[in-house]
Amino acid sequence: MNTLFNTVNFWRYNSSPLTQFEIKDLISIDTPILGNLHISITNIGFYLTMGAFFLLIINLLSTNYNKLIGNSWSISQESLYATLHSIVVNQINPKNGQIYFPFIYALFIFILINNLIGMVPYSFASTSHFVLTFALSFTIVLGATILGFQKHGLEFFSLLVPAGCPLGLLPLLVLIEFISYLARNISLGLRLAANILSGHMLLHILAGFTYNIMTSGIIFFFLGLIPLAFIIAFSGLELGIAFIQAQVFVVLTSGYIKDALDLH
Amino acid sequence: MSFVTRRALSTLIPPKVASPKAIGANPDAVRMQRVVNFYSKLPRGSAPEVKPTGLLGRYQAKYFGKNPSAAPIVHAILLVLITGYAQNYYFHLRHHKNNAH
Repeated sequence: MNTLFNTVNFWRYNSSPLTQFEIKDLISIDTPILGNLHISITNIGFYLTMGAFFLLIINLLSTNYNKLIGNSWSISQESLYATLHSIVVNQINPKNGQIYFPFIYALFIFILINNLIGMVPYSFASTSHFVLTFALSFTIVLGATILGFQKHGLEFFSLLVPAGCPLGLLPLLVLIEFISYLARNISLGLRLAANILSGHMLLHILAGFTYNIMTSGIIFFFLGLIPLAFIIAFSGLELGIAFIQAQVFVVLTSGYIKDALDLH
Repeated sequence: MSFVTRRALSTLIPPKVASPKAIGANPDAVRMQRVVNFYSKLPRGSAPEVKPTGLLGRYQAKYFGKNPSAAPIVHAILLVLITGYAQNYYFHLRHHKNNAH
């Protein structure tokens, strides 16, 4: 009965695997100006700042004093550079695409560092928030659209016409292509946040179960080592997802920029 | 210059062929002197050791300099872990201190 009560308590107070994503004010000021303005540093703001801090430090320190031959830190930076450079060259355009390299690099490293910070226990996964990822994805697709109009004018609408399409089907296909173009806004941000969100929720739920099992008795403690091993394995998987999702986001962004530049 | 004129000129003017006489010629000697001057002024030997200054400089010298190590990654994880635990403790965990679940 006691165990049951404890379990109920557990589900009542600590159950929701979504509590870890709550945005809380760390420091806030309520000002009676401009319609009772509420200025605050939230935990998401704190962790984003922390990510920026880590990036700044790592970029300042891993230069190996600008010597010609690098050490392992500067080589790690250079290989990151080379990887993203190859993504830009392959996905956009070796000639016209390279001016988008700084943007793509910054985007990748921003998503990656925030994914990785989210992996640390007790921390906060900023990229699991749709408010962040949708802000990124809507801005990117809007930017790519503006770029397309700037480069091609009204001819940009030919993006919506698949090559070699029969005239009778044209209205329908244009409509479908238009919807799919708009869906990019959603899909790009949704993919990142949903992956990070689901991974963190899965780990939280499994950890809750395992905690309950392992605290139930000495035999259960040893039995609980099996799900614990699974949790550790899933953590490794999540680490992989953190890298892969940053890469996927960047590859798709490059694809959208390419669409705007070359119209298929 | 059109191709035909160039072709015609190239047959008229003999190409410059290296010869011991040409190398020792005066303009070349002056140029060589300048090259020697430039290189003789360059610092010799291994580069001087730069003494690390400041907190960040000393940290860089320790972990990012001659013996680079992965310790900064551990430090970053520890920093995130501690700040995260502090926040969790303040907002959530301390309310469950006497009410384990």
